[in-house]
Amino acid sequence: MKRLKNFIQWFVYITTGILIVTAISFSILTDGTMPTVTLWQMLLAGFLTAGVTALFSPDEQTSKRAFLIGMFGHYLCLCAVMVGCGVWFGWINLTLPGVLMMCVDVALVYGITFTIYCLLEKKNADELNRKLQEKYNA
Amino acid sequence: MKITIESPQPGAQDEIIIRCAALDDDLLNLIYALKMGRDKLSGYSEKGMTMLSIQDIYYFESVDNRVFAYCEKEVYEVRRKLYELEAEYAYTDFLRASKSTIVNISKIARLTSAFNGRLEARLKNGEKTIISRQYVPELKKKLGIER
Repeated sequence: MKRLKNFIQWFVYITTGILIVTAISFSILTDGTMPTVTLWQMLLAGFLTAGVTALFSPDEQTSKRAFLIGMFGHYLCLCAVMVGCGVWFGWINLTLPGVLMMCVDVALVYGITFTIYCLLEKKNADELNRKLQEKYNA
Repeated sequence: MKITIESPQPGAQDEIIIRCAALDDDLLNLIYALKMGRDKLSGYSEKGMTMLSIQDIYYFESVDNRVFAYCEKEVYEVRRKLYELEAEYAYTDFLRASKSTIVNISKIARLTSAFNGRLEARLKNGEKTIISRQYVPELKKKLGIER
């Protein structure tokens, strides 16, 4: 149940990031119209990358350096998944510029998702601090 | 609530037994007051043995199979196991924070989010300790943020 909750959480964050990046991409690179099937493709891409992310669960005792290396490995896995999705859905061609463009998009989604995650964690910590103040008048 | 006071057997330690169908807030507050107010723990240092007041302990840490109690400035060895302390002080301000630490949440000055879902607790004496991801729900429960 905890794993499922974790997966759903990441699916929401990542799909939000994909939505933002897709909206920007379509606005810049096309006439702004988007086929309906793209929405389903985005959901599927979000589902697959959330699955990869849910599996990326560093050990509690991981050092900061190992954690950062793990994050980079995670990013590479996501690039591989998204390049696959991009070629399958016809978003990109399997060429160097196509792959690089997808890697940039993944980095943008990664950044957005990580930012959302950090903001929510900070909100969580702020709420705990408020409760500490109330209870112990710290 | 019925209160019964009995004399123990000669040589036996004073003991409080709470018999209840369920632990409600009133009983939890009573246990908290008994534990935090009166309980003492034997602590050992180079100077010898000291009776430590539970309220003065900032956190317990297990290192090399030895448990240490950290007060504001002093450190004492406690001849108890970490899991024993966790069970004994379950209904108090003490929270299992990681595999090797139990922290007194009344001594936390500020919490900040650390990476990987953990929390960094800065204590009132300036020390820092980590609250592992798996123990954050229990912290929320102790602070009354149950979801």
